[in-house]
Amino acid sequence: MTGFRLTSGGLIDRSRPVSFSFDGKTFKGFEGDTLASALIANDQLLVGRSFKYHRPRGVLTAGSSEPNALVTIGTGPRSEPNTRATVAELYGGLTSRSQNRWPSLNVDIGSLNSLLSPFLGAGFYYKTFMWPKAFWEKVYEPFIRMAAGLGKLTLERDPDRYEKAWAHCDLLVVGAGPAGLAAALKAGRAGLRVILADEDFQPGGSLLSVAATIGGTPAALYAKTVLDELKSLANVTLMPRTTVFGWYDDNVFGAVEKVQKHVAEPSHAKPVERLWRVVARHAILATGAIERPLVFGGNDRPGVMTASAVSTYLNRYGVSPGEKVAVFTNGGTGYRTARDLKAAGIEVAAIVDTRASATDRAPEGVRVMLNAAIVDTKGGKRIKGIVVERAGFEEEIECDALAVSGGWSPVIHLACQRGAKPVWSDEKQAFLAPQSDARLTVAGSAAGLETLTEALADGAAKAEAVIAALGKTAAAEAALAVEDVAYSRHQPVWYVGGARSKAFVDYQNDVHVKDLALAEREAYSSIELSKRYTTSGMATDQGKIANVNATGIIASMKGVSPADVGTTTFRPFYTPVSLGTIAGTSRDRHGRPIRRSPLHGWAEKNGASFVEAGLWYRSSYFLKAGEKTWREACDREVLNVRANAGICDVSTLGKIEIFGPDAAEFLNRLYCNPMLKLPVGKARYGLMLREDGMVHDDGTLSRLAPDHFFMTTTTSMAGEVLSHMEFYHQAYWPELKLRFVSVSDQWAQMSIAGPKSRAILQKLVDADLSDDGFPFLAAREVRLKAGLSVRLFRISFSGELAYELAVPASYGEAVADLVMAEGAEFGLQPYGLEALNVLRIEKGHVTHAELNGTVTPDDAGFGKMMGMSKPDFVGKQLSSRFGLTAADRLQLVGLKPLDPKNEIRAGAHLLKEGAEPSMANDQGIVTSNCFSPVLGHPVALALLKSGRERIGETIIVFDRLRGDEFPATVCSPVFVDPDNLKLKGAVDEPAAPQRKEAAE
Amino acid sequence: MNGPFSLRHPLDGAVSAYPAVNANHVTIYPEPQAISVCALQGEEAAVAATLDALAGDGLRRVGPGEWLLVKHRADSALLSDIKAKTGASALVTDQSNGRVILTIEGPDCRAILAKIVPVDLHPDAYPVGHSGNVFFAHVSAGLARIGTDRFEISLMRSFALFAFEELMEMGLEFDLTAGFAT
Repeated sequence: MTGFRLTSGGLIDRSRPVSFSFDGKTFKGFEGDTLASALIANDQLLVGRSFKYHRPRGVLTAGSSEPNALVTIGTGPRSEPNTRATVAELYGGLTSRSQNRWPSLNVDIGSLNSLLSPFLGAGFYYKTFMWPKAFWEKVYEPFIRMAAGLGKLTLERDPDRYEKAWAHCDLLVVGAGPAGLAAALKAGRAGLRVILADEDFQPGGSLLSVAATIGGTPAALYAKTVLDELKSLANVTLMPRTTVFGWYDDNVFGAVEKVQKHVAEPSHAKPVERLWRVVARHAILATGAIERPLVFGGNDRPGVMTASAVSTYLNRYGVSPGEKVAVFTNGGTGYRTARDLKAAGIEVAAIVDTRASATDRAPEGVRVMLNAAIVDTKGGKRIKGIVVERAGFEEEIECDALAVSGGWSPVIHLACQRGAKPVWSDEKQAFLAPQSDARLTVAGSAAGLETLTEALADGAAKAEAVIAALGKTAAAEAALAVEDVAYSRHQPVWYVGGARSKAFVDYQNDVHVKDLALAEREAYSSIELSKRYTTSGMATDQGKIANVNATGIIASMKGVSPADVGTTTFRPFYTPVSLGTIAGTSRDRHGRPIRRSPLHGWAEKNGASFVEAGLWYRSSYFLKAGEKTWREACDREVLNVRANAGICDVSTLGKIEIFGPDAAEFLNRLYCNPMLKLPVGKARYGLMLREDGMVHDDGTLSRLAPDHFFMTTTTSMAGEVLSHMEFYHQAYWPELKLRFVSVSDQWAQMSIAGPKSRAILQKLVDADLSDDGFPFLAAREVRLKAGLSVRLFRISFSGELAYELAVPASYGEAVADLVMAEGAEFGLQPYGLEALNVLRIEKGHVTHAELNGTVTPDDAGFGKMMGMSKPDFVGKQLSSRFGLTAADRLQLVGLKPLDPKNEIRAGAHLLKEGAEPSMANDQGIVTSNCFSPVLGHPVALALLKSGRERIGETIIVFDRLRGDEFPATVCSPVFVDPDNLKLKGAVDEPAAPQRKEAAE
Repeated sequence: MNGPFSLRHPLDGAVSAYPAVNANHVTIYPEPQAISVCALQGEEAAVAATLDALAGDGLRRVGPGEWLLVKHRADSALLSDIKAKTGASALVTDQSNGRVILTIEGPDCRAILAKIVPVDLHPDAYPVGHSGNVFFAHVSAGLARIGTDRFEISLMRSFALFAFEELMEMGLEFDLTAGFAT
C-alpha cells in the first residue's frame, strides 16, 4: 500500500542521489526527479490541504497544470510559496513545506471547515455582504481571511537578482515534445534562426513518458538524439526551463527562464530568473494537451491521479504511486496507463470504463468493467478503494491509487490570449484555437491530434510552411516509423452521476459539481459569471484542469453543446510569474533612470542636498556649519543673492539649437510673442502656447547668428518642447527650411546672480561687461581669460543683476570652481533650488506651478506680450475665443497674510470674506508660496478670479485639509523691486518681462 | 587651448571596481569627439557626401539627414572642417561634451547587450558598420557595430552613469570589466 521507486527504468540519474526535506523530514531522491516524483517515491502522497475545506490532497498531475501539490520551497528570504511540486526540479538541500494546514499536514484544525461546507457553497462570500450587515467586519471577514489561503509570503528582502533580456528569431517553437522537436529540427536544418523553448528542465515532452518507439528507437532516446542535433546547430537556441507565458502585439512573446531555481545557493553573478521578450517572425505552438480528470464522487482523495501522470511517474521517473492501481476512463488512453502499469510489474486492480464497448485491449489478466462508473472512493488521507456502480449493482474494489482519464484538452492558452475565442470541435470533443494570426500556428496535440505519428508529421509540416513563407527550402525527409499502440477516442462524460461524496471540478479552489448547479439555479450560469460566482478556474492554475470540465458540466446542465457555453477568457500569464522577474533589475537605484547634471560633483563637494526633480537630481540647498534646517540655508542663500551674489546650477534646462534660413519664421510661429526681429546677440523671454491657447512652456530664445538660434526650455518640459517642435515642423510646416537638435547635455550652465555678479564675472571674462558692452539680455559667445570659449547670457530669474554662463559640460565643474574662487572676495555662495524658488516668488516670476495647463498668457500677466498682429502662431486662433477672454478668469496675483504668522500654503483655495466654502464661491487657488527672508513674512502667488482688479482686497485663504482659514491681502505678484531697478541697464527692451533662469 | 581647466568625465570613479581587463571589456574614451550634423531639406545628399569624405569610419546615421560623427579621440579640427565644408547647408553642433562614448567587446558582448537593447543584433540584422538609435536600459543611446564582437555606444552625458551601471550589472555573469582608454 505504498508509493515506491521501481528498481529500474526512468530517466532519473540513479547514480546521483540527492537528499531533500518536506515538512522537516529528510527524504532521498535522484537527479532528474521533480519534488513530486521524489515525494511519491517516498510514499508521501499527501502533500497539501485544499483552499476552502482543508481536505487532504495529493499530487494529481505530473506537469504545470497541477492544482493540488502546492508547496513552499526554500527558507528565509528565499522561501517561495505556492510552488507546484510537479514542476519543481529536485536538487540537493531542497527544503519544502506543505501549506494551508495547522498544526500539521496530518492533523489540520482547519479541516473542520468541511463541516461548515453547507454554508461555504458557491457565492457564499458574496452572500456574506448581504446580511447581517454588522457581521461582515466582525465575523465573516476575519473568518474568511483566517480559513482560506495558500502559502505565506516572506516579508524579507529577496536576496537574488532578476534580469530581462530580448531574443529574436525566425521561428519560436513553444514546447519540445514530439511536434515541437519535429518543427525545430525541420526549421533548424533549413537554416532558420530557431528558438525552442520548453518549460521542463528536460525537453522532450510526452516522448519522455511514453513506451512507444520512433524509427526503432525508444521515444525518450529519440528525443535526446534530436536535441543533440539541435544543440549542434549554431542557428538553433535551446531554452529549457523556459515557460512562454504570453503572446503580445507584433508577435512578441514573453517567457520566463528559471536560471537558478534548481540550485541550493544561487550565484550572485547570475539571475535566478530571467524574463525574455522573444521577437519572433513566426511561432509554432506545440504545447501539447492536458488530460482531464473525470468528475466523480470522492475524486480528490490523495492517490487519485490523471492516468497520463501515472504513466509519466512510471516511465520518466521510475516511480509508482501504488502497488495496486485502478484505472477509471472513458477513452483509450486509460488503457495505455494500464499497460504501462502492467509493464512495470504493478497490479492493475481493474479498468473501470464508462463506455458500453471498447476496442482497446486491456493487458492480459486485467479485469475490465464496461458501462461502469466510480461513485465514491474509500480512505482518508489516501485512497484505499473505489465504489464501482454498474446498472444499479455496487461493488467495492480495493486499490491504493487510481489513474483517471477523462479526455484531452489541447493547450491553446497562448493562441487565445489576444482576443481569439477557442472553437469547440464536436469531432475532437475539445476546444481548439482558431487561426487568428498567420504568424502563429498550432501543431501536434495542441491542435487536437492524437497519435505520435500525427504529431511528428504535423510539427514538421507546420515548420515547412514557415520555411516556405520565409523563402527558404526544407530538405525532403522520409517520416520515421512510429511503433505505438492505437487507442480509441474518449466518449464524453462530463459528470459521473450518482456521486456519494463531493465531486470536484476545480481542485485548487474547492469547487464541486453542486457549486456549479447552485450557480445555474441562481442564474449565474453564463460561463464568465459562473466562473466568478463559484471561483471555478480562478485559482493560480487558472483552471487548467477545471475549465473544460466546468464548461462541459454547465452545457450538460443546460442541455446544450459545450460550443454554446464557450470558455472563459485566456489572459497572460500561462503559469504564475514571480514579481521579481517582472521587476527585473528595476528596483532600488535601478528603478528608473537617474540624470545627473555636469555640475553634480561641484554641488556635492560644496555640501549640496539633492532633490529628485523628474529624473534629475538637483541641488536643493547647501547647508553651512551651524545650520540645522533647509530653511536656514535657504534664507541665507536668498539674502546673499540679494546682497552679494550667488551661483546656481541651471544645467538641467532644456537646450535646443535651431538653424536654417527659415529658423526665425519657424520660431516666430512657435512662440506667441514676436521673435522674427530678435537682434543677433540678444536673448528674449518667450511663451509657447498649445493650440488651445494655454501656455505650453516658457523659456528664452537667443539669436547667435541670423540663421542660428539657441533656445532654453524649462527642465520638466525639455522633451515635450522638442516633440512639439518636431510635430509642427514635420506635420504643419515641412516647407520651412531649418533643422534643430537638442544640446541639453553638451552644456553646463550656471547662473551667477546678485549685485556683485558683474564684478565677479569681469574678473573671469575677456569682454566688456558694462551695461554698454554687455547690456541686459545680451547673449553671445565670449572667452574666459583662462582660455575657454563659453556662452554668456545676461538674463535674470531672481530679479537681480544676473548672468547665465554656459560652458562645455566637461569643463563645468572646473569653471564653477574658478567662479567660486574668484567670487569669494565678493561673498559669492552657492544657492540651490529652494532659494531659486524663493527668489522667483519674491519677484513674481511664474513656473509650471502657475503655468499649469489652464493658464493663458494674459492670466499670467503676459497679455501684452502676445503678437496678435503676427499672421499666425500656435494658439492664436483659440486665444480669442469667448472663454479665454472672459473678465472673470483666474489671474496671477500676490498674497500677503494679514497676520505674518500665517503661512499661506500652495493648494489652498480663496474665498470672499463671509462666503461659505463651496465650489460656487471658490475664488481661486494658491499656486506657490514661501517665506520671504527679504520681507520677513510669508508670501504667495495665486490665481484669483479677476485678480488684477482686486489688488488691496482682503480675501480668505481656506484649506480644510490642513485646517487653514485666515485673511490675506491681495497684492501685486512682484514683491521685490517692482521697478526693476536692480536689473539696471534694462533699457533697450523695457516692455519685455524679465526672464527666468530655471523652473522646477 | 582650453586653459588650465581640468576635464570631468561623468564616469570618473565608476570604473575603480574593475581593475582587470577581461575578455569581455568596456572601454571608455575620456575625450572623444562627437559632432551632430543635420542637413537642411534638399541638402541631404550633398552633406552626406561631404561627411563620407571627412568622417572615415566614424559616421553614425541617427535619422533622416541626420548623423553623429564619432571619433574616439578629440579632433577639434574635424569640427571646424565640417562647419566650413557644410556651410549653410547643415546644422553642425559639437556634442563631444554631451555624449559619453564607449565600446564593448568580447565573445559575449551580444549576450550582454541583449539584456539592454531590444533590437536584433544578429550579424544578418545588424552587420558591422550598422548603427542606430536604440533604447538602452530605459534611456536613448546610439549603438554602432564596429566589429564582429565589438559595439560602440554613445550615451547622453546626464544618463551615462546610470546606463553604464546597468551595462556592468548585465555583464556580471560574463565577468565584464571596464576602464578608460589610455
